[in-house]
Amino acid sequence: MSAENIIKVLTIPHSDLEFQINREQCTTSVYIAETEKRKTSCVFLQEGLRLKEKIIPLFNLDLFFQNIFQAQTSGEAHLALIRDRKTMSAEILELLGMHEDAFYLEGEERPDMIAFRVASATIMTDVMLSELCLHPSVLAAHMEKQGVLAVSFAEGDAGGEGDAGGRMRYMIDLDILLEKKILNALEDNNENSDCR
Amino acid sequence: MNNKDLMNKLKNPAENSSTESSADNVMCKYVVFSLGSSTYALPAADVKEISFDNALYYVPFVPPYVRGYANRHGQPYTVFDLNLLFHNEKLESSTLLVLNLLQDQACLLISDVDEIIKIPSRDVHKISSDDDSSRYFLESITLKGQEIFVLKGQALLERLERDIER
Repeated sequence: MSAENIIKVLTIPHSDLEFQINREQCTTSVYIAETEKRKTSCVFLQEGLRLKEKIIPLFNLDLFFQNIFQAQTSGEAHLALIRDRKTMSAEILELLGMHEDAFYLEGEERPDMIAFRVASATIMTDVMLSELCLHPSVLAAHMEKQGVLAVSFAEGDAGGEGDAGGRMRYMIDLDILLEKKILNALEDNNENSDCR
Repeated sequence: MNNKDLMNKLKNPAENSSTESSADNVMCKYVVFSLGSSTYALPAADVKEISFDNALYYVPFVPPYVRGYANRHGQPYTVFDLNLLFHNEKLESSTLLVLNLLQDQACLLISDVDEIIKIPSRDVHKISSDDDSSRYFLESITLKGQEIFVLKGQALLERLERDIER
C-alpha cells in the first residue's frame, strides 16, 4: 500500500465505539492540567484550558460524543487536542468569535488556538483508505454535511450470525462540526445537534 | 424427468420460466416475515440475504426509524425499523432482511422470517388505495385467507431521502 493511500488519524476510544480525526486537523496535544470554568451559550464550550498563562477555549468533544453519538464514557478525558487558528477558515473564525465574546473576560488576551477535550487514551494510528467505508448512498451526502465522513468496523467483526461484537469507528471532520454549527450549537438551538 | 431434461432445464432457465408463464397462473415468489404482530412480504428477488444475531450501530442525525448501521461483510448497511415507522413502536430484534438494491445498502429489522412461498399470480392483488401509507406497498397477496402487504424497498429510501432533506 503506497503512502498516499494511508492517512494518519487520531483514534479516540470509548468503551463501545471509536472516533477518528485526521491528524492534519490537530496541531498538537497536551494533557489537561488546569482549566477554568467559563460560561457561553454553547453547551460544549463551558471551560478554558490554561496554557502558558493564557486561556484557550476548550470544547468538550468527549461530552459531544456522549450526547450526540450515544457513546459511553471514555473513562478519563484529560487530553486536549490543540488547533492553530491559522489553519481555520474565515467562516469558522467568525463563528467562533460569536462564542468568544462571551467566553473571554474584558481585555483578556485571545491566543491563536482552540482546544478539544478528548479521551486520555487517544492514540495516533495509520489508516488505509481502503479500510474506510462511505455511508450507504441514501445517507452519504447528509452524513458528510454533519461532519461524519465515513465509518469502518474493527477487525474481527464481519457482522451477523453470532458475530455481534466489535466496534464501529466514525471518521469525524472537526471543521464541518464547527462550520455547520454542530459542535458549537447554541444551547436553545439544537436542531443541528440530533435529528432524533 | 431424465438427466438430459434436467440439464436442459438447468441450462435454460428462461425457457423454463416461459413455460411457467405461458400457463395462466404465473408463480410469484415472496419472503413472508413478521414484524411484531404484523406480517408483511417482499418479492424474493428483492432480498439478498437473511441475517441473524446482528449488532446495530447507532448513527446520529437520522430519523428514529433508522436504527443505525449493520455491518455486512465490512460494509455499513442502513437498518430500517418498519415497526417504528408504521406502528410507532421500536422493534427489539437482531434479525435482518438484507435488501437487494442496485445502488444502495439497506436492510429491514424484522422479528422473524415466517416462510418463503410461491403463489399463483391470481393471489397477487394490486393496491387500489391512494392514501399515504399505500406508497410503501407494491401489491398484496392472499396467504391462508389473510391479506399480506408486499413492501416496496425503494419507497423506504425515498421516504428517508425526503426526511433528511427537511
